[in-house]
Amino acid sequence: MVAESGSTPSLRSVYGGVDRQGNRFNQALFACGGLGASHRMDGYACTAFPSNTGVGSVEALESVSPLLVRRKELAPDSGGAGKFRGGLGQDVEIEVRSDQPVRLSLMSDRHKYPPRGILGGGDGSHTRIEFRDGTRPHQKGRTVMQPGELLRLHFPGGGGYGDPAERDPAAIEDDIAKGYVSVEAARSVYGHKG
Amino acid sequence: MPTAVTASRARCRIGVDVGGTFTDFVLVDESRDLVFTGKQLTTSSDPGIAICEGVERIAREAGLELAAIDGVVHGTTLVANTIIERTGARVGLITTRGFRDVLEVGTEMRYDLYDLFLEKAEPLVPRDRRLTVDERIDSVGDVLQPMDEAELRKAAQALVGMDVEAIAVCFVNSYVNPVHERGAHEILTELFPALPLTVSTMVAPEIREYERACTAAANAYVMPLMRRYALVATGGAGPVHAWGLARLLGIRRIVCPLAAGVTSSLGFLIAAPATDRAHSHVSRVESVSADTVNAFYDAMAADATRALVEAGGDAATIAVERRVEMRYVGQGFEIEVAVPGGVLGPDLGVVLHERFLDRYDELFGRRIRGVAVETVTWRLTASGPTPNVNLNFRGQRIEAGTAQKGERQVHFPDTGFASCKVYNRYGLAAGTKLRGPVVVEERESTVVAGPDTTVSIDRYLNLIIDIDESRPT
Repeated sequence: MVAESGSTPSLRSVYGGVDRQGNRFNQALFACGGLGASHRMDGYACTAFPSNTGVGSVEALESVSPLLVRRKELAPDSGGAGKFRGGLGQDVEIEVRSDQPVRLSLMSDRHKYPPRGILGGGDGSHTRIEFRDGTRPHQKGRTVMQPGELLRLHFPGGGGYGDPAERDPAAIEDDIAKGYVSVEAARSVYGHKG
Repeated sequence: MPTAVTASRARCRIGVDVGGTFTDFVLVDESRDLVFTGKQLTTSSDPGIAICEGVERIAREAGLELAAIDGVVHGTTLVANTIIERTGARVGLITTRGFRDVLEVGTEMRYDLYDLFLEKAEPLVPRDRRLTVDERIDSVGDVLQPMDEAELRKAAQALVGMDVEAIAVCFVNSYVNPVHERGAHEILTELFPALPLTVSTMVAPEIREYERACTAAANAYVMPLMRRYALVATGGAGPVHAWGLARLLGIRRIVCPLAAGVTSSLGFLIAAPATDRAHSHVSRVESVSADTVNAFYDAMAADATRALVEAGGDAATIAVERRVEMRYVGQGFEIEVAVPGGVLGPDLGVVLHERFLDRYDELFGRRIRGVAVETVTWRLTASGPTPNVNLNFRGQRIEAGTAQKGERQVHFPDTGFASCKVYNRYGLAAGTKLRGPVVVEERESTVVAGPDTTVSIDRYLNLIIDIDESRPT
């Protein structure tokens, strides 16, 4: 049995317009949230599910668009707590570098209802999409991004499995060492004494 | 004992393959048209010991002085084993700020669509040993943010504080402009001269940060450890298990070439010496500059030729082959197109565009006009001529009629113990037919054929095992 996944349904953002050389471009950002945990193991971070859509590379995206990816990293504390932890989602930041506005089309869910944990496991994180100033575009619509604008996308972590109190203390220590879980969350969610 | 022969104009070379368990040897003596094979236990603490002992031994067995050996070609599976078995170095990875997890996030795919409990390989460098530095270069190579050298030093010192044995560096877009990676190399070499260091553009100057970071991390992972680990290889064990595996897979015929247990060593002698170079240069076909391409291809060809000449090749016989990876603008993956030979002219873009459309049509049955096409990575392979090696093993054959060495009890899973005749492979002449179960011993391995088989020797001395049709499953 597997908890809900952060990439179901998948969050898609599509960018279109004219690049700095005057060429038209249209590019989708492929990226995934975390897998749900199962009775056997933690969920994997940033993994497609149930589709298996591979992601391109940041360098490939930048080579065909006037976009600059400022960040594409695991999001700590985004996986649902549990005996087995949900896989981490990720934070992506995209900056517009053309001198023309870029059209942004969004198709996203999980803003209100995060991927749910099962059998006592905690929920994963919510989807969050916002501009540099904190304003939010419509979650399923078209928006225009001005030159220099920065878009932050949070891809949710997966749901947890089972009671967090049953999590192996060594796994909690490992999560803290690698920064998958913050010390504060380890204390408040798992009752970690460290 | 063969009599010693002196070196003639024909060459005499030895191929050596260092595996986890055995080091394999093949000696090809062109003057006498003979091949010799041998095996030594790999000396994992210092693989050189087994190599030297094996070379001396095979030369002695061939009746040759060491001075008569023209060359030794050497390769190893130790590196691949190290990565598969995860017995490599403790590596630290430094990447661009914002890209700490490039190695862990990877392609975001699952290798099996239907296995909910699949187990992905752990990244070669865990997250606590992955640090970032402020720096940024864009997709055309402009420096958006200079590298923070103080931060780089701090990151390297932190990694050394975590007892790393090697450091890898991979910065975003370094494939277009490696200036920051080169700077990092200089600084880190000065700071920690004894610490093995890999920067990504030195091992894989190609677009796609995940693949390049993996290559850099893998290189760092195996660099310091070539002499320190005992590993497991399966080379000579193939013929022992082939019969059981064939039955499991429903395969009815097994071919065991002579010297199957040392094929990698033999391959070193038979393969044409070759080396590859790559250069990523994203450009639309209509704006491809033949001058630019000629310039980097000249540099790549010179570099590759130098490597082959240093390895003993003759510059006059080296052939160069060039390809470029191309795609429709907006696509994520490329197809390979041959680049014309010689100095490229101003029609290069037009020629490549046509070749791309043709190749795309061949592969996908479509010819899309009016969509922009671009080049991505330009590749070059330089290779020497293929050595002409005639495989004649009669140098290590024994007299016919002495083939059967004895008889022994062998346990087969379905039928239990059976009495097996044991043969010496070098006494089995072409045309020989035997009924299983039999055991055939050779210098590098042992062939086991079960009770449901017919074993025959063909005219090339391949040993063919045919499994009966009505075999129990």
